[in-house]
Amino acid sequence: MKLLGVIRDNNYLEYLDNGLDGIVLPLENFSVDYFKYYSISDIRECRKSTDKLLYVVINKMIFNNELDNLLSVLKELESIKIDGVFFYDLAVLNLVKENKININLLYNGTHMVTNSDTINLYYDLGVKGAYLSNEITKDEVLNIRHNTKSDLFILLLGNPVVAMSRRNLLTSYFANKNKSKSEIITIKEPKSGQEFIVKEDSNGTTFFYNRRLNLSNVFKELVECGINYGIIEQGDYNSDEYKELIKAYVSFNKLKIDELAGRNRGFLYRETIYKVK
Amino acid sequence: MKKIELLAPAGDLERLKVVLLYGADAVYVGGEKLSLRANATNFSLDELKEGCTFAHNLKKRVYLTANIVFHDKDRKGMEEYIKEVIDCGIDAFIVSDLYLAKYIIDNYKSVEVHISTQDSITNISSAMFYRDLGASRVVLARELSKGEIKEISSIPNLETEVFIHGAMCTCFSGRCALSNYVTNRDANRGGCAQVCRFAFNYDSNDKFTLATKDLNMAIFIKDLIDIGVSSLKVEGRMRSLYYLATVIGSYRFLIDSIYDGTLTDEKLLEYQKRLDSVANRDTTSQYFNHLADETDQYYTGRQEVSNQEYLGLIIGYDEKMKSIILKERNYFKVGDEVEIFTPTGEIYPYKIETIYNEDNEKIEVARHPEEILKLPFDTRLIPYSMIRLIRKGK
Repeated sequence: MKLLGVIRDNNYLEYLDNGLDGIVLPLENFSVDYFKYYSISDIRECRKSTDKLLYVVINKMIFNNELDNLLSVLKELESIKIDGVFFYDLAVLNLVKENKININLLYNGTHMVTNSDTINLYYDLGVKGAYLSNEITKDEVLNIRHNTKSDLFILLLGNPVVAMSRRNLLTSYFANKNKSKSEIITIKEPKSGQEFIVKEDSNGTTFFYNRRLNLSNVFKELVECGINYGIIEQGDYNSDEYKELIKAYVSFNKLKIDELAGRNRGFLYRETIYKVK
Repeated sequence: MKKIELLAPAGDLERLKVVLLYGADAVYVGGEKLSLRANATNFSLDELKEGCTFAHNLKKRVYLTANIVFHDKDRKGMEEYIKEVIDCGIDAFIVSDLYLAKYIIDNYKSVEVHISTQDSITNISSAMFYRDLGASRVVLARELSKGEIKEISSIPNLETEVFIHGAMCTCFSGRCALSNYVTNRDANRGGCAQVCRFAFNYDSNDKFTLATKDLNMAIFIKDLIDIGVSSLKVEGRMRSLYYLATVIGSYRFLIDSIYDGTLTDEKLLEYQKRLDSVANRDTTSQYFNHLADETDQYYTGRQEVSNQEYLGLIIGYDEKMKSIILKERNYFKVGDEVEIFTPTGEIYPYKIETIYNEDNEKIEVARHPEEILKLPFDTRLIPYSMIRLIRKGK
């Protein structure tokens, strides 16, 4: 399994030197649900600086007035020769096909990448990779691996994205309270005790789960079954902690990973209910 | 030019009949599999068949929601189920999963595929992708402005469907798993617990809420017709008969009046008030004219108010007593001023002077929901007529 980082500070080359096989770069103005975004020129610089894997994220909902820019950006990315683009909106796939842009597309449907057939259909449409949902069980992950040819990406460690709204929910909330606005807050659902980080930017508001997901306990199984890429987010780790974490994954030291990241296994063993009696 | 479609929700067979009788051109329902409202009383195959026959006899249509984001284990029996529901006579599937959409398109030419709002279609390019796949219609994301809807509606050979009334999701459809994380109920497989309506703790003494007001597009129906939308969709498969009858009847009146050029400002105001009278939350037009902002949100906990204007459903006529027979829904008494309204749009003002119970005994007060009662009335009314209280000032 290749390890990819999502990096929040500026010294990404150090992390690549420290053992990451590549990094995920959310594209400024065209991606959501991240804490740091990169411009096209940043990505161009990254490409010049390293031969390691570079994946770009274009996962926002696209509106009509953004389509021309999206096409330009896709053409630029083709020229930069990045290793792949994670996309959510099918406009990306449509524009790539219509304009015969040579880019490796990877389906990044957040909560929607949950079954083998759909991943296989995307594969047949030329989308050779899929970023699995965080809300499926370990057995479902293994089953999808068994039934698909697609490259599979999984979040090994990080704060899962829970929801995304076009609304400026923090702006609205603080305006109503007549208080100065915070760009990031933490909220708690009182009955369940679950906490969420709420972050607003120009594209809307994202909710992140406030407990880091850590799949260290199934890492070996994921490697053995052939999950191709594992993503390790920096989140709020400082540089030294993040390097330590990467090192722990490269040499696979589960105790160290758990010490640094906790033991939230997400939905690995917890199937969601959908018919409530 | 084809007249715009009024599309209504129905959680069960009775609701299906009511919305079609009250003027919907088509109805969307959930089956026992693949539907995003797992907790609605979804249609069995027999009910689906009966519903399709009922609709087709009225020259109306039935769409089946098959819009879950399925997991591998949900796949079992999918093909058989699709064939079975097609055999029941449905006219279209509303689908979100790309695999399922393509499977139906490739294998069944007799049935349409509409792409669900769960796919949050927000632009021309993604809409064209679905058209080229073979979908005949896209249900647009609720986050679009009038201009954006117009541009997508101009795509040839593709119908657009737009929500006009009912509850709104706070987040993009398909991009929300709050329910999964708070209640372990899968939002994208029909288990949504509406966590966006919960109040969250923020700071030590403050509550954070993200709930939105409901959607009401009554005053923009003409705009939606003018910009080329094909279908106007009302939300709420689990809403009451009275709510559905009032909402669908009101929009039927507005659409027909716009087409025949008779809609006046007074009538529009009257029907807006009627829609407001059955709403249990405040309403706005959300994104249609501006990016949704603080005026479209709620800042307190749960916001629903109960509605007790609906007094009863008329279920028959007693020729001997010259009385309508009704099933009581809410408290009423002698002296109340009410309206009796019918699926075909007649409205009869009526003052309650006598109430009989099922044993033909006079009573002063009706206080037992589901009780069978009679009210003297000269005319036999068509099935699914209803009685509502007239509140002073409304």
